Amino acid sequence: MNLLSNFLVPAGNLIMFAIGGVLIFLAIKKQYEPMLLLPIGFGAILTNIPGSSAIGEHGVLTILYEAGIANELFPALIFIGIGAMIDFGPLLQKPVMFFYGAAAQLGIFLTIIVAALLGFDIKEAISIGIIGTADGPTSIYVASRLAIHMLGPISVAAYSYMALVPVVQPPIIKLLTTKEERRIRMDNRTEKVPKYVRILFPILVTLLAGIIAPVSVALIGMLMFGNLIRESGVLNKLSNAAQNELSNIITLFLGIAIGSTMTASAFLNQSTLLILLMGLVAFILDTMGGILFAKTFNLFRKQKINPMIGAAGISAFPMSARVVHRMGLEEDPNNFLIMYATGANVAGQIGSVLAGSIVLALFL
Amino acid sequence: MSEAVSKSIMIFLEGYPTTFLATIAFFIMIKLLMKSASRRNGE
Repeated sequence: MNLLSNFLVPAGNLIMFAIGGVLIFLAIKKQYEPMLLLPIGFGAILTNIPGSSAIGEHGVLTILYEAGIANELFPALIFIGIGAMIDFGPLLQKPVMFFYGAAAQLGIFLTIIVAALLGFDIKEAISIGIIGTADGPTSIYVASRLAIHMLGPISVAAYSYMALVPVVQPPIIKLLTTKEERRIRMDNRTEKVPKYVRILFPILVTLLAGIIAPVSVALIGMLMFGNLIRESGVLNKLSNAAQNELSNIITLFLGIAIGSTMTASAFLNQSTLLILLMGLVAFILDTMGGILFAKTFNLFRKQKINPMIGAAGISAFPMSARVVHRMGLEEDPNNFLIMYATGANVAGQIGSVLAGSIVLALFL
Repeated sequence: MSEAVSKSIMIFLEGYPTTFLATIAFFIMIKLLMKSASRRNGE
């Protein structure tokens, strides 16, 4: 075998090395979702080395891909960790925030239409629209079921825009709200949530969501299982393991296995650019949906709710809640929106999984 | 209109309201839970 010929790396592969490098740069230098973008970037480099032993029948990345992505195992397991990390207390105290979490899923549905209008088939359009869940595991879960060939760009778009929430959301919030609206103060009185309510909540949500859309059980069920472990109070070791070891290990495998799908032939095409653009459109429409719902809702309420909170209804947790809270403080240093924004944000976590499942249920 | 576009519109018209309906069910569920909790506290 002439090893000298290995120096002739095709141009497409070289471009993929550069893209992998950019993802690693963004992860390290800009700290954009480093836990995912760094493994994805390195996975892309490993995959595009001509003749790479990391992919193929006995390749470690292909084995990981078959073991956890092709069968949708990794996204479901990640949800156990996410569920164990989330405190649903703010939502239980302000259940009206559930509506905000639903409203901000508008981007999913509208982006599916836009993607279909751009010529994607319905499976691809759904997978692209699901980027609007602002929820990486759900995006991966749906894409791996419907459009596995788009998994790379969809994952990159989903995680990149989640990291860019502090850049994407503020201009839209400012555009759609008046200064007066942004200064609406919220009543921050809290009420204690009893332990039995915290324990019943994940069980009842699973049952309700499962009855409405049985296809949601894999994701909502795992999310709520993680939360039940957390709230039970008797499984602290398991809760910590789910939040840390399980979550970290699966994230590591998930990222590098996604990177293995980013071959030059699959990634370097016009669709990838459109997917990245549509992902941004989905996030913008989600934010608009949440704010416009909040403004409409206020028309019927005596006690107005700060409409910026609507923007926190997307599932990008906890970035979106922090953005809204910070913007509230900028307008009025005594306006603390964090509890409502967190309530909307965790509602968005449930809403996004539910919306993704409903879309799947309508299609399958 | 292509089949994909008509299907995507159908998904929007059916899916978005269903997401809201599910939310109403969650809302009622939490309200009932919290009401029972405050009643217990009051006893």
